[in-house]
Amino acid sequence: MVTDADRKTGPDFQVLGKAEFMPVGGFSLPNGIEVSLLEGGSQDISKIDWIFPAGAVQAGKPLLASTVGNLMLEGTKNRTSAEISDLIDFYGAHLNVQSYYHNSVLTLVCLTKDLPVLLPLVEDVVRNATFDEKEYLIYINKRRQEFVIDSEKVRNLAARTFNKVIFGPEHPYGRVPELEIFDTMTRDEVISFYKTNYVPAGCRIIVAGRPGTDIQELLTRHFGDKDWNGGLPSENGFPQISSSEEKFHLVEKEGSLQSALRIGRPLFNNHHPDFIPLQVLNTILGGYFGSRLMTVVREEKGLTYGIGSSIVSYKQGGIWVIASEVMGDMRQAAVDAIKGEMQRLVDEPVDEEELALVRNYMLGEMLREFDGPFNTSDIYRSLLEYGMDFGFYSKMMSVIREITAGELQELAAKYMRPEDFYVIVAGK
Amino acid sequence: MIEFYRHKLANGLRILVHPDNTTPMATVNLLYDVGARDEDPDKTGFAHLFEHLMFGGSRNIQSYDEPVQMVGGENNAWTSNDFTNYYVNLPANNIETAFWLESDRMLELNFTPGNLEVQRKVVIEEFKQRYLNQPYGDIALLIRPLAYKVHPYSWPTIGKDISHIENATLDDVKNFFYRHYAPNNAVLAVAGNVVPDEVFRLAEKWFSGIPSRQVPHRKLPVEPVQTEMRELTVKRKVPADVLQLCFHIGKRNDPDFFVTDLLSDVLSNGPSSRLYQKLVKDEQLFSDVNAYISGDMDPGLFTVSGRVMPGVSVEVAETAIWRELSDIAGAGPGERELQKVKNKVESNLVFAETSSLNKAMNLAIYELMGDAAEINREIEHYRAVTAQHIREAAASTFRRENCSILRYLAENGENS
Repeated sequence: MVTDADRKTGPDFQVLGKAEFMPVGGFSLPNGIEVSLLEGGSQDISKIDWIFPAGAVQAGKPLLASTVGNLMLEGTKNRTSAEISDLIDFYGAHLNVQSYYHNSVLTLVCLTKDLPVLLPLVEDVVRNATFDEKEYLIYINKRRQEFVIDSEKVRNLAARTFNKVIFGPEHPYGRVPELEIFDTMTRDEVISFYKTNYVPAGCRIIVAGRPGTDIQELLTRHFGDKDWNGGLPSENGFPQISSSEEKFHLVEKEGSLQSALRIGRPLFNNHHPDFIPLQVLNTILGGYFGSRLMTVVREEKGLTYGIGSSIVSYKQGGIWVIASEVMGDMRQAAVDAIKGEMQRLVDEPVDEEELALVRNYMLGEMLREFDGPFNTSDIYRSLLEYGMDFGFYSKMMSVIREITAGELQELAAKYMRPEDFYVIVAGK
Repeated sequence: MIEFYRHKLANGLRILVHPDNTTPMATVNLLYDVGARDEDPDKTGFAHLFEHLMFGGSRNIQSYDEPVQMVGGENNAWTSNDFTNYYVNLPANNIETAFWLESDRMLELNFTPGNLEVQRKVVIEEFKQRYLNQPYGDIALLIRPLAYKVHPYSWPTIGKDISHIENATLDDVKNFFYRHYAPNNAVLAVAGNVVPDEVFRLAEKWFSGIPSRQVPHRKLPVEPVQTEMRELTVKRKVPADVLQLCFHIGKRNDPDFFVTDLLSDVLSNGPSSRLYQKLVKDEQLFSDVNAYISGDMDPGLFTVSGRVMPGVSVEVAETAIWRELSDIAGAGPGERELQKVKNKVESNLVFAETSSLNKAMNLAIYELMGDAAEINREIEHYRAVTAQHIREAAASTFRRENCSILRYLAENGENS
């Protein structure tokens, strides 16, 4: 049993020691596709990601990349949509496509024993999708409905406007879909994009879990074909960003009880030398539950259910953004409180106690993010886009441990000048 | 198979440990046998408000979150109609910190007016953000009182009305704590890179000094059998009509729970499921459709809900749903169809074992349901379900007299 004194001080604890990352194996397929292998975990399950250069940037317009990705699963030369979904469900597996700016990722998660049955299906989907007319229309109608409903949500209105304001409406990162797009896109465009971009050139495969000893043979058989070729994906040339002249934007939505806020600025990607140190500053500002923003805007003033900030890296740029949905009538008070906390980081150095807490929290987060082969493979995949490896995270650990309050204050002075920030409000 | 070890303290606290050395983390999960169903009908939303207050500091510890962050952990909580759950996920070599924190707030919470004021405002904002300011957000507030006239499931965990939270007093909150937050009313489950004996030792060290408390014996009013269909139509500023049908079913611990669960899976689990293929793909009457059960400890609900495609009449959409429900009640699932949903259950169990959080939480829930060992017997219950069982369950559940239907119509749509 413990004494009151024990209860007041609390037990001893250890801070995260050296980081150990899973070893990454791999091999090449006969057609040149590189496969990475992250083996580990306690269950005989596999997660396989196929990365294709088929994102919004290659598509050159909104909606196209994600439409192709989703419709691939809705019918091939050999199987109808119903047959494909029945097969996936029968094996209790998951197959889906996620589209991003610079690529689309097809992911299969299943019991390893079912790989010999499921990999032929994935091969069929990747190489022989037919984009049947009826399926196309069903899909477009469904997506249009979802878009209309999503457009009612203040958080989506704020997010779309923010990207448009920071990058410019013609920029791939700033382009927002409009309702008309659902009618102007054609099935021919969809088929053409699929043929050009779902090809071995630029494709990468990542396997995680316990895929068994046959995995190289299986992948070679289904995805290593030298006769599988297609178009030459291109990134359509990359424009400069063109931020809005106006720093304040209000998107009114009648009847809103809350307003969604996005306060932020353009920044850079994770190659920049200040990127990692800024992650520490960002965590203090709004990157965890005990952050300045959560403490003041939620806990002290009760103006919101949630508020946070993130520094997001894209392949060709980046942003720093604070996001929240706040009490509609108190929107100005919330904006002032946020700006006040930003200014405080410029004016006052962080004290050692708070810095120690953030260091330990960030190190714990890293341990969590790398827990297990599936989590580790997600990080590995995100690093690939930048031509980086886990060394990035070793560097992050050192910075987290060694950065000083003085350095943080210098970063704040450089990157948190109020005149550099945009304020977007959706609501009232 | 989730291997686990048991121990019980003299004050009634039950402890379960599942060792897993494939991860450097551990999850310490504390589940209290109190939920929204234990609230006074004039003071609803308390269990959830209370969950928030648990983070405001305890007798010896000013802030709950800071020590967690300091040891590299993260934590969260949830409240349901039946339970309130708290967990900390942290590097396994620091689990003692979790024992310190959880035991101190089980011992005595810091009841201050300041803390109540802040959390009151946060919960009110949550009410607005999730239930009032989102399209379709208030569906739970409408359907529950329709389906339940007497039982406390008639209100959602957020509460019946914002005013209940606005009027909560510090005394109300203190009474709630001493009535329900007790070692004899909780289960502590730990999963991850831990050694069972060490966990039991820590539990004795930190929790044995907490006295057991007088938890009122639960005696909730029984919902009388529904004898005729109930209907409610509302109009809202939303882009599409939504239909929601709720049918009364049994309790989580009833033997036919597994039958009802697979019935919902046959109807709508996965893109190859019946409702999705027929109503969304083939007939294009809905842009989305779902069937699911509540899994409540007291008799719960089977819900079928769908978002109607623009241009489709609500009557046609509704008729199509009834047709599907009557088809499965008449012919039951095919052999492959049944095998498919069983396979999904099995593979989900395997995937769930990759998370120490999942394992700890489920061990605790199964223990409060009656016996943690059930977690390893579940799969047999699912395997034993036959097509006949499912047909019979569909026939007895999907009757109009057993149905509460909400027609949630777009204000300027063609159906309103």
